[in-house]
Amino acid sequence: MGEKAFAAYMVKGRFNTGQVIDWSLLTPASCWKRIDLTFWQSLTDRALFTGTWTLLGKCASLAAIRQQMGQAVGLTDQKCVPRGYTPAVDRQTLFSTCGVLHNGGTVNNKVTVHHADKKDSSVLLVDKIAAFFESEDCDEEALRLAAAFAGRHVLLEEVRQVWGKRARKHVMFILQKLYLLGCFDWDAPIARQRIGRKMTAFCQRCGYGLNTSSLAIRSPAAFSSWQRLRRTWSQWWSPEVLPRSACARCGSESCLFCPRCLQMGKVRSCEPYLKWHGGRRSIVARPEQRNVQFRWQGQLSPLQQEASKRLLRFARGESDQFLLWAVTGAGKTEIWFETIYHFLLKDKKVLVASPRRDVILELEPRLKEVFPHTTISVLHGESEQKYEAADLFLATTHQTLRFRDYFDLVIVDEEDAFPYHVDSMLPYAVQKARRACGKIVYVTATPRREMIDAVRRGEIEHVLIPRRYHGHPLPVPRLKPVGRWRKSIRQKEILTPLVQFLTELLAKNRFGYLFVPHVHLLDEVLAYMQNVILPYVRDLSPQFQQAFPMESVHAQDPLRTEKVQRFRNKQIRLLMTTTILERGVTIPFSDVAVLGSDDQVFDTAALIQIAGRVGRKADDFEGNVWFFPEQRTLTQMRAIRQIERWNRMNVPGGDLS
Amino acid sequence: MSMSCLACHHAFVPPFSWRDLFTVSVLRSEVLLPVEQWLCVQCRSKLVLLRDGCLLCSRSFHDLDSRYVAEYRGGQICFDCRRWLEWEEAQQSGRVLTWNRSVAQYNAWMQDLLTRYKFRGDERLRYFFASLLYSHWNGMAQQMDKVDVIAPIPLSAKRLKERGFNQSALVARLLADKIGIAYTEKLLLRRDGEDKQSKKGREERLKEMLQKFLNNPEQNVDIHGKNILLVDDIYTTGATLYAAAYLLKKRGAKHIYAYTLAR
Ligand SMILES: [Zn+2]
Ligand SMILES: [Zn+2]
Ligand SMILES: [Zn+2]
Ligand SMILES: [Zn+2]
Repeated sequence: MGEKAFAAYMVKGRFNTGQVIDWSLLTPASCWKRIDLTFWQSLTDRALFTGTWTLLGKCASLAAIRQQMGQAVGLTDQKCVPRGYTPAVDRQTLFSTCGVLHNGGTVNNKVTVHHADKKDSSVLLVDKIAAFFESEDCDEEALRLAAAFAGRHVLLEEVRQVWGKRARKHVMFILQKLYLLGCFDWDAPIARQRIGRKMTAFCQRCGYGLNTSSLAIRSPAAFSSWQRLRRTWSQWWSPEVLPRSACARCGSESCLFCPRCLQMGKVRSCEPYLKWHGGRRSIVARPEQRNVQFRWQGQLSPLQQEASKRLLRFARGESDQFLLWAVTGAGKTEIWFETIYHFLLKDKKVLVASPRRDVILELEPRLKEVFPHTTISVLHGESEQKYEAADLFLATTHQTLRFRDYFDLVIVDEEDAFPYHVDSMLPYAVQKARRACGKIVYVTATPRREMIDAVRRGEIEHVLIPRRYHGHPLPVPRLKPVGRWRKSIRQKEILTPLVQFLTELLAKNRFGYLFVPHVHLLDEVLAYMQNVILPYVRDLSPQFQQAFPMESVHAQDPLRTEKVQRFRNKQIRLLMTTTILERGVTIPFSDVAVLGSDDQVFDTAALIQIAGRVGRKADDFEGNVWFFPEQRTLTQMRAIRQIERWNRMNVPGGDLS
Repeated sequence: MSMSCLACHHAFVPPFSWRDLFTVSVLRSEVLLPVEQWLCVQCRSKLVLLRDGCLLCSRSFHDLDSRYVAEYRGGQICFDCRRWLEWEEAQQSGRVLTWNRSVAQYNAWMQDLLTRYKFRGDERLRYFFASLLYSHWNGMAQQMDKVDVIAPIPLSAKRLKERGFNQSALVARLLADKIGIAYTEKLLLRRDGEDKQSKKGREERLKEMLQKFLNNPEQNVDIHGKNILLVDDIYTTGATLYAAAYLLKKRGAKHIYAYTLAR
């Protein structure tokens, strides 16, 4: 059952330029006669190529080809993060040295060969190939789309969506032509890798099946023995095994599919997977000369300058991972602007990724301002899936799943934010998006333990910025145990610390965040603040009679963006929230209180981030941070001690203890 | 020992069973288990099992005005089913679809889950859905012992190719294997064509559905005098099931029952 959808064939011979080839190529069965045979035949007819081509066989899918004749066609099983599959590079190199794919000339236009030293024969070859691709349907749009897919690895289905209006057969013809030109390689999305003694299938897109709990730090030494033990245990207990099922597409009784990345389109082992070549040479000419402009007027503080220099040194150096550890409000974004510029100047691809969409949305206008002439592509879950050629990409870590082996510099902003380390496909996505020699910069105020350990062992370069850009110390949280506050709230008893918190907000005309540990507490606490504490405070003094709007917001709140916007516009004075607002949203002239700060949802990093909401502007560098726990815990003390330690430090770098 | 909830993926601790001691979670996820082994407490409250509803189609009477409830053989049936009965009388075919049993209510939660299964293609869910049917089957075994063949409602060849699997067939096959009843996918074929069901009235829809199903020329199962259990994912108006049952009835099947996941 199942028709033979793909074929493999071999071409041996030499071009009239002297190039000898021994290629194994793949083709959709429908294209074999129409495209491939015509192509090689027409080259032979014109005496541009002498050689033979032999059909090796046809199979139901690329996966079947890999299984049955993988050795012959070079479609062998790959390593964890596979490198480009050579033939695409080979094809592109051959045709581009001939001039076809050269930056200066386009295929379907008159070919302009920029290298004066090229022999006539190659120009002839170029002309003929060009004529072949010009015919029928390989038009400008196809070539432009091919350029837009550079560096991405996508399912055939995703390519078809972009080419939506065209007939399915037509799309295959165009694709096969682009394949012959070396724009991409056919592949099967589910590959196999040897882990221990047995071969394990894994999803090439999200890494499911590799059982990698942390790829963020690649060196295996980065795992402590305890972590290794935990990994082994979780592998044994719930191993990532690709589920199999009977498949009506390929007719196989056990076709594998990936359950983890389903929302990006189902990955099945019989599905064709297109690995677009991300080479520096673009198949389509860029109309205008590259023009990178760096337009940034701001001033870096001495600490920022020092860090920026270190980052540049890292960019030129050997090592490939860097931790930019900057306290909240240190102005970390400005620090890597110059490094990006450095890469863009050299015509290299840069990706700025973050687990959080709001970070991406906030960065977009700033980067567009700083690099006005650079094409910037912004990818996040709610933006329409875009395929466009760009030099600088801004993407949520989920969106980086579609890239492979493409970026020379990856900056991961808010590296420790949710869900980057909960979902092991995200570190995988970021790791595979960079080129083998590409560099990664992690940016965060609160690196995770593993990261710090790796830094200590010297596996990751780092720089620490312990000061805010305005030079003032970070506000240190004050801890006031409030006893059994849940019970007090239920019984409408007055909690004096909350009264004090609210009094200060009213007296000094400030804004406030009140963090609570769980969503289901929000309504109760909001009612309590409105009906118990606020009237009590108002009774204290006649000057507290002004309006004091309060609101609560949580992750699934349908009005979330609207409420946060109102808070930004100063229409809300006190916002009650959960950990979702621990980063990102900063309001000047605000204080923070954390009710139940001893709850386990507030880890040290979250508490430091929350405390970092306060006093970030130069004209409002002081502010209050309150912890209102039931009891003192080590987590809270660690957060406070960490902030105090930063305040004592003056120089960047060095001490990590 | 914690598992992750099938629907919301949050970790939860299912009720203890001896099997836990011996199975790894992968194996666990490929057997039929009671509902509380699959779902966390929150999700279990969202799964509304249908009981004591319409005798013929399992529709719950909770949200139904009593005007739309009719008496039938000592029980109650919904207005839709009464119209089906009238249709059957007009056809003079006897009972076409003896009854349909739906396991769960088609609420937003169930809709999400079915979307994940059908359209996103998370085929792992077939074990869960088969478990639902199986536990329902266990609850009413005495009524069902006469079933000879289990058959899914087919998809058109084009749709099958597109989706890669037939959502009803996967579940039906697991159920048939579990209870040891013959299973076949070859009773019926379905023609291509969009389902523009929502816009049309019952009559037109039925007419359309009747044209859509045809007998499979290569089928070699003799269904004369047999009782057949059809399996489908959702019971909306019943047109699909009645059309399929009508065809089988004409081929001589004795009773035709239907099992659907949601109503
Ligand atoms: Zn995957
Ligand atoms: Zn398949
Ligand atoms: Zn759940
Ligand atoms: Zn009914």
